[in-house]
Amino acid sequence: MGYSEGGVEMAKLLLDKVKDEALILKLRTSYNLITEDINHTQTVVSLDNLDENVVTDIVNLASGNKEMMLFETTDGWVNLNIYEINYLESYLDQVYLHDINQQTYTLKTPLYQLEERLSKHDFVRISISFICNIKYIRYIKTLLNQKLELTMMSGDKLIVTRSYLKNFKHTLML
Amino acid sequence: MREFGIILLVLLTITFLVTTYLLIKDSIWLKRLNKYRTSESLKPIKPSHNILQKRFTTLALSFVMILAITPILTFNQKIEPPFYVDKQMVNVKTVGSKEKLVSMIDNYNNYYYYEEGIVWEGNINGSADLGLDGLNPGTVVGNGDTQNNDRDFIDTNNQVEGVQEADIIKTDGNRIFYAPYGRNQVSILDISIDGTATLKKEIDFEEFYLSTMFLTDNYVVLVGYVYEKLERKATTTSGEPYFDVWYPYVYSGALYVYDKTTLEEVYVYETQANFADYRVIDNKLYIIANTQINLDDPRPQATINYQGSQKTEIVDYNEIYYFDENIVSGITAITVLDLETFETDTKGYLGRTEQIHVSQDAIYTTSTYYDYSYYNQYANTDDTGTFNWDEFYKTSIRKFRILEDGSVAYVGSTKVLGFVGGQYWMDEYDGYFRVITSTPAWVPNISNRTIYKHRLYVLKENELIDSLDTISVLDKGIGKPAVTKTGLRNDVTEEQVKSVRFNGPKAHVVTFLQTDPLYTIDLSNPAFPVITNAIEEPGFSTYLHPWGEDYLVGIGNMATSSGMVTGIKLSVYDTNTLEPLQTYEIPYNLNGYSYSYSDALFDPKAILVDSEKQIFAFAISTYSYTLIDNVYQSSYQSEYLIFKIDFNKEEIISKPYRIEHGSAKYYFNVDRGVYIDNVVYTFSEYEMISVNYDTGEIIQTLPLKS
Repeated sequence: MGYSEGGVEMAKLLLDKVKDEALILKLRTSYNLITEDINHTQTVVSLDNLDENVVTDIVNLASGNKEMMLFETTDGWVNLNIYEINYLESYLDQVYLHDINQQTYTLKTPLYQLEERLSKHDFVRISISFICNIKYIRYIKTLLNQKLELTMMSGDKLIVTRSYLKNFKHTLML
Repeated sequence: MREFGIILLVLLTITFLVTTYLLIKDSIWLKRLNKYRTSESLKPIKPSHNILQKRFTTLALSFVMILAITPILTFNQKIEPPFYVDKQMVNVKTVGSKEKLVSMIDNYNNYYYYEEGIVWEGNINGSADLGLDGLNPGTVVGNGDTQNNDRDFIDTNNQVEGVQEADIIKTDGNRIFYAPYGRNQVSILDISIDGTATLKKEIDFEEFYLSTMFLTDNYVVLVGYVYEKLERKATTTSGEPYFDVWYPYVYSGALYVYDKTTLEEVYVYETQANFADYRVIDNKLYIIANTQINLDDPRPQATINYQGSQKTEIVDYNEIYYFDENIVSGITAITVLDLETFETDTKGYLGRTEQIHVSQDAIYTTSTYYDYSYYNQYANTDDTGTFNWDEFYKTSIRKFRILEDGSVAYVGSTKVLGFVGGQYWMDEYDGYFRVITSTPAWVPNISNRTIYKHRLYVLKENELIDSLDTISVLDKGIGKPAVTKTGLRNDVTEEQVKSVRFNGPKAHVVTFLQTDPLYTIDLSNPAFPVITNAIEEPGFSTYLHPWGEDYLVGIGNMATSSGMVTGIKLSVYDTNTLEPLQTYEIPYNLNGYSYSYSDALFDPKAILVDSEKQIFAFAISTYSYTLIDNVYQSSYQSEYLIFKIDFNKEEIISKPYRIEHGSAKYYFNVDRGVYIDNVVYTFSEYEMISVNYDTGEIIQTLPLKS
C-alpha cells in the first residue's frame, strides 16, 4: 500500500473509484493530494507523506462518502450507493432509478416513498414523476412557460414543472 | 411592405428582450445552484459554451437585425409620400392622432363661426352607403364589332397635353360615351369604319348621379356622387334648439368603373367627400376631394367594391398632415387610383382645395381664405380708415410632385395675395409655376366701383425645404388704371380678369370693364415678366386657345362700348398686333326677347378644337319667346357651329356649318361634338347628328332615348 523513496516517504492509496466530487475537492484542499483514475473502477490517491493519521482520515472519508441503501427491484433487492443516484423517474406504474454509471434499475417502491427516504440527502422532487440529485445538475435553463430545464451532468434533460418550482427554489436556497 | 418591416422589427425587439430576460433568469438560477454546491463543498459550475451558445446567438442575431432594419424603415419613411427625399419639411407636420385633429378642428370652429356653446348631434358627414343596387343594368340596343385602333379622333380639350380631364363625352375613335346633362345615363355608340353610328347600350343610374367621365385604355370611369338626407340637429349647451335642420343633404363623391369593351361594372369607389377635381395621367386617376369633418371619425374614408368584396379604406392619422399657419377647414384627400391594378393610396392634408392645376409632373392645389386680422381692422375703421384691403384675400398654394411610380409627394407650399379664378389661371413651364391672382375690394374712399388688383406670380420649388419661392411678381399693368376719387391710379384697376391662358413662355390675360384688353406677357425671363402687347376691342374673350406660338383664338361675348353684352363672338388674334385679326359675331336676336348662350363660354371642354385640323366647334342655344294669340310662346333652339380656322387665308374664320337639333318648349341643348375620321358627331339629349367635316353634309340622324 505504501513505499518510500530517497528518504522521502511516498505513498499511493488505491481506492474504489472516487465519484464524489465533494470528496475529491476535500482531498485536494485539505491534504493537497492528487487523484487519478487508473481504470473504470479505481482511483489512485498520491500522498507525499505517509502519515498514518492522514491515511486513516482519507480512508474514513472515502468510505464515509458511501451511503448504501437497499432498494427493491423487479429482480430482487439491490444495495446501491445513494451518492451515485442521478435521478428517479416514474413512468406509468413503474419507477426507474438512473445512476451516474448509466445503469437503470426498475424499482417496486412508489416515488413518494422514495422521495421521503431520500429527502435528507441532496434529492429534490422536480415534477410529478421526477426526483433529481441536485449535485448532478450542470445547468438550469429558464423556459418561457415558467418552467425550468435542468441539464444533468450525464446530459439528460429534466423539467422542473410550475407546481414544483417553489419547492425546487426552496431546496436550492437552503 | 413598410407594415411588414414594422411587424418584423417589433418581433425582433420582443425576441431580444425576452432572450435578455431569460439570460438574466438563467444566471440567477446558476448563482443559486453554485451557492448550493459551495455549501455542499462541491466545485462551482461554469456553464459550458455549448449551453450558452443558443441563447447568445439569438440575442446577437436579433440585435444585429434590429440595427439593420431600423435605419431602412426610417429611410423608407423619408422617401414615402408625402415626405420627399432630400427635403427638410418645415411647413408640414403629421397629425398623428384623433385628439390632435379634433383639437385643431375645435380651434377652427371657434375661430370661424364665432359660435360658442353649440353642440351638434349626429353624423355631420353621413354615410352614403348605397352598395351596388343603385344601378339599372340597361338594355343592349345594337351590336356589331367595330374595333379598329387606327381611328383619327380629337380628344377632350385638355389644358395640359398628357393630362386627361373629365368630360360628359369621351371617345377612343371606335366608341363614343355620352352622358347628357341631367339625364343620369350613359349612351354608348359604336362607330363603324364607314362612320355610321349605332346605339350599343344605354346605362341608366338611379342612386348614383353621374357628372362626368374618363376613358382609359380599358375602362370608362364614371364620376359623380351619391347623396343622403340627414337628420341633423343642433342644440346649445343649455339644451335650446339651435337649428332644427341644417343642410339636410350630404353629397358624396363616387366612381363607377366599367369595362370599356364588355360594359360590365368592374369597380365602385364611394367616398364621404366632395370631389374638388380629378385628372388621369398614364392610367392613374388623381382625385382631389374635400372631406367634410365628422368629429366621430374625422379621417377621410372610402368604400370600395371590387371583385365581389367590399372594403372600407380609412386614412391613418399618421398620413394626415397639417400646415401650421393654415385654417383647418376640412381635409383635402389626395387619392391615386391605379386603373390597372385598382390599388389606391390616399393622404389627407388639412385645409380645403378649390382649384387645381395638374401638369404631367405635379399637382398644384389652391385654397383662398380671408385674413380676418384685416377684416377686423376694416370693421373698426370708417371710410377714411386705413384698411389694407389688399391683404384681405390670401391663397395658399401647395405643390405635390407626381413621382415616377405615379404616387404623389407633397413638396412645397406658399401663400400669395388674391384669389385664383380657375385652372387656366395657373400653369407650369420649365419648372416655374405661374399664377394669376386677383383681389377685389369695395373701398368707398378710393372709388364707388369695385376695384381690383391683379398679379402674376412666378414661383419655383425650393430645393432644400418644402416651400415655393417667389421668383417675381408683376403687380402693375394688368388691367387699365382705375379712375379713383384721388385721380388715376395705375396700381389698381376697375377691370375684372375674364380669361387667362399660358402658352409656353407667354401669358395672355383678358381684363374687362367696357373694352377688352388682351395682354401678352413675356415670361421668357421668369425673374422679369414684361407686358409686351395689349389688344383692345369691344367685348371680351372668356376662353383663349393658342394656335401655334403667336396666334390665339378667343371665344367670348360681344359688348357695346359701354360694356353691355350683346352676343357671342369668336375672334382670332396675332399677339404681336394691336387689334384682332378677325371677329365673327353671333348677336342675340333683338327682335322679340331672345338670349343666346353657349357652354363653351364657361367650359373649355365644350369646345371641339384642333389646330392641325383647323377646327373650332361649339354649340349655342337660343331661348326666345314671342306673343302668339296673346300668349307668350317660348322655345329653345340649339345648334352646333363648326368653324374652320386658317391663319394663312384672308378670311381666317370660315362661315360655320350650322347643325340644328330641332326645337323644344323646354330647356334643351346641344352638348358636345366629337370628331372621328373626318366626321363630326353632334350630340343633344334627343339625337345624334353627324356631318362630313369637309362638306358640312349631314350623314346620319340617330334618335337617342327620349
